[in-house]
Amino acid sequence: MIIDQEICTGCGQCVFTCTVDAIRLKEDKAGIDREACVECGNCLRVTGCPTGALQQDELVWPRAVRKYFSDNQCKWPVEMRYTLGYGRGTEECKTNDRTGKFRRGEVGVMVELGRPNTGTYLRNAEMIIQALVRAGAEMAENSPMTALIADRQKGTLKEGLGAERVLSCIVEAKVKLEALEKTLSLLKEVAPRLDTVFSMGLVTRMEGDGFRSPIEPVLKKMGLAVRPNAKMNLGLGRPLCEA
Amino acid sequence: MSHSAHRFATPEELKRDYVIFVRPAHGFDDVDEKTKQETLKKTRELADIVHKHGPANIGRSGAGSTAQGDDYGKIMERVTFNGFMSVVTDKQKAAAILKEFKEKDAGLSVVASGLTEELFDICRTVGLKPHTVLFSLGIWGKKELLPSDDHLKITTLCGHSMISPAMIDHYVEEIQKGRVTPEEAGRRMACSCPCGIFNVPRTVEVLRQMAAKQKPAGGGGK
Repeated sequence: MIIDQEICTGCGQCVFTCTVDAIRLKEDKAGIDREACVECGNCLRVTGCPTGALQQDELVWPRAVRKYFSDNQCKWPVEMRYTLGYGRGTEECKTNDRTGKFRRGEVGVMVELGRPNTGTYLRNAEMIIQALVRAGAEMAENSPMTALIADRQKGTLKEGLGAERVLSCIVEAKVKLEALEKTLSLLKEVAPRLDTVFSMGLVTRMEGDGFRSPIEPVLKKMGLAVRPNAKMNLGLGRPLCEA
Repeated sequence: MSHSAHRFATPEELKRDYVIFVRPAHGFDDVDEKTKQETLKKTRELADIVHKHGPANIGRSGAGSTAQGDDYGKIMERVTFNGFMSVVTDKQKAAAILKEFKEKDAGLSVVASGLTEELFDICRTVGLKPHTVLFSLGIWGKKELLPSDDHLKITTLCGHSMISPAMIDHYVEEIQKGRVTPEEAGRRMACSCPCGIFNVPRTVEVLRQMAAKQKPAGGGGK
């Protein structure tokens, strides 16, 4: 995003709409900190800039990646498109009753970096990916973050991406249930070294009558607890994937 | 990702926040034109069931949401494979909707977010068997960067993090100065979250509490 300083009247209506606090009023003009800006476009959509000073400039690689991750109304380019082509992650558990992406004995690992409210440099995602590689995790196919990995053995991102900043991005992978403890230990180890936060989610097929979680004993052993709320696929898809 | 497993609030507050959405499966519900058209028709019918029960919000990404003042009919005019998202503020309503979904047996994937035990209870009552669950292990990493708990109670209600702590502070101040009601502030904030997942009644509750807590330097307020 840019603000044309010639025509900005300094009304300040865009300042509070910024998702990452990158717009500030200075000497009666609004200015954007381009380093902090994640190109989410919220300011442009919500403000209704009275003079048109607020504008989306043309973005080129690698900066364009900021927009694909951060602006939920902006599609990824065709060559990097996955599922619907929008957003930061896959359908994870949402359609698992049809797709069978996560099967019994497997656990989905969903690391949403930059959430809530901190934003993140992609170098943090690289550190998480490398921890998951060490855990022997299988990176999710059709995930935008996986598409940006240059070397799957090393877990490194494509050149120049580490310094790009996004509102959030989701590193998605799956591990066997028996590798969950090791995976979580490695993530716990890397967490304090990041300069951001992440929301940690685990996806599991439910067992028995649908109300028993197979990951519970592992979490209990590690002294970890789940939050009281969760997201659940209710098994209404037909034909139902029983795997 | 809807981020709906990570909505931040106390268990008591979460009793007023149930997210329900329908998501067709790519490669399954769109294998040919006939299946695709049937899927879109069923999506619309399921959305109509939710709408009938008076949700706090219902919408589709890119098409708008009722909480920001868009017309439901217009939002659903051209349903796409994005499905739809909705929020209801009580368990009974969530149960009634899911009961009708089960009876309808449309065959599309349905996802609900909220208090795990309450959702399990609904499932047992209605006769549903949870297939796959995304559990939240909370926030990890540099937590000193986080805004206050009050801020998080609102910012995590948007699936794409489009509502910032600065926006909340702006509206809290506007409420305190009597320039806007909490309800209008909630509606305006919903404009940043175009998916239909933003819970305006919960937002209004938190805004009211925040405005009462932090009086502006010059006094006044509602």
